[in-house]
Amino acid sequence: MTNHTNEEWLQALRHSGEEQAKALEELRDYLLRVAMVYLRDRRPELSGLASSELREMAQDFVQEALLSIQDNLDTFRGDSKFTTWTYRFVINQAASELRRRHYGTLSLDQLAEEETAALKIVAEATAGLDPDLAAERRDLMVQLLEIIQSELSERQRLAIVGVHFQGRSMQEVADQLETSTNTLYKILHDARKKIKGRLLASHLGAGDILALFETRW
Amino acid sequence: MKPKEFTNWINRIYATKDKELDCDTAQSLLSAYVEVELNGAAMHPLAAEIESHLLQCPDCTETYQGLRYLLKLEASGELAPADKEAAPAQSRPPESELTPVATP
Repeated sequence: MTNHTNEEWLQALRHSGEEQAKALEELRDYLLRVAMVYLRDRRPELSGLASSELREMAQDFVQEALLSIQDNLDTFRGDSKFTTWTYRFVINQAASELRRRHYGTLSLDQLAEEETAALKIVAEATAGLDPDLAAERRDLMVQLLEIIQSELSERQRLAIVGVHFQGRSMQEVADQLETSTNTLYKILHDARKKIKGRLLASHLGAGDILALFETRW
Repeated sequence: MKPKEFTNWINRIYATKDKELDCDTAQSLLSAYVEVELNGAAMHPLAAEIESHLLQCPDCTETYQGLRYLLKLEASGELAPADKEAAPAQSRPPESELTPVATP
């Protein structure tokens, strides 16, 4: 079986017995090629691995992705090619597993300790600046810190620090907060709205803030 | 935080919309979005909402970039297609199918 329509894929995968086994085997072979290409070309951290190790890793990811695909067949909207839809499961499986292997050591304490350090560093980067401009920047940072500390819940602060200030992945911070990435997104969205709302209420637009930092860092 | 990261952060704060797609919804739309984007003939009906989500979400952006890379390879014949169906025409899904982030 090659070159199937979306409907043919769905029917075969929903079928039981030989037809399903054949479709699964074909999809597995195809996604294994996809996974190998993805790991080889898009994951530089794996460049030191031998191709046999890469293949073994790809096989594991594809096996997990196939289980998710089968569990989620009913969510396929039919608004893309079926195979395009399946790529997402392979990418997410690989990205998720590789992120977990990479971080491993982040703790909530680390996030909390660095809560406001990032903005303080920016506030202190005023050496050699015109004194008035330096004062304006410091005032702004004091205002931002006050908003973060007074308006945001602890989880919102940790989320902002982890994802926005430290550039950590959503998954890493979500794991530390013992929640899903979907919920973390909502936490961050609420936090961003609060910060934006307070800044706008103070008649501070993006241009006003960015103008303070155009001169020199 | 580096200076450039600070200005990027400010831009992200001000780009915040009252309602945004959550990750699950954005993920469910990504495969069609990338197909339409690479096809170039039309714009995905939820392109603005998806792009707004991608601006804010590093993990979904990683998925998007991976998908885009693989589909470009597929289009150039470096990944043999396993299906014969062209990307279906896009129409905006009903609002009831969308789950924008609900905020109090």
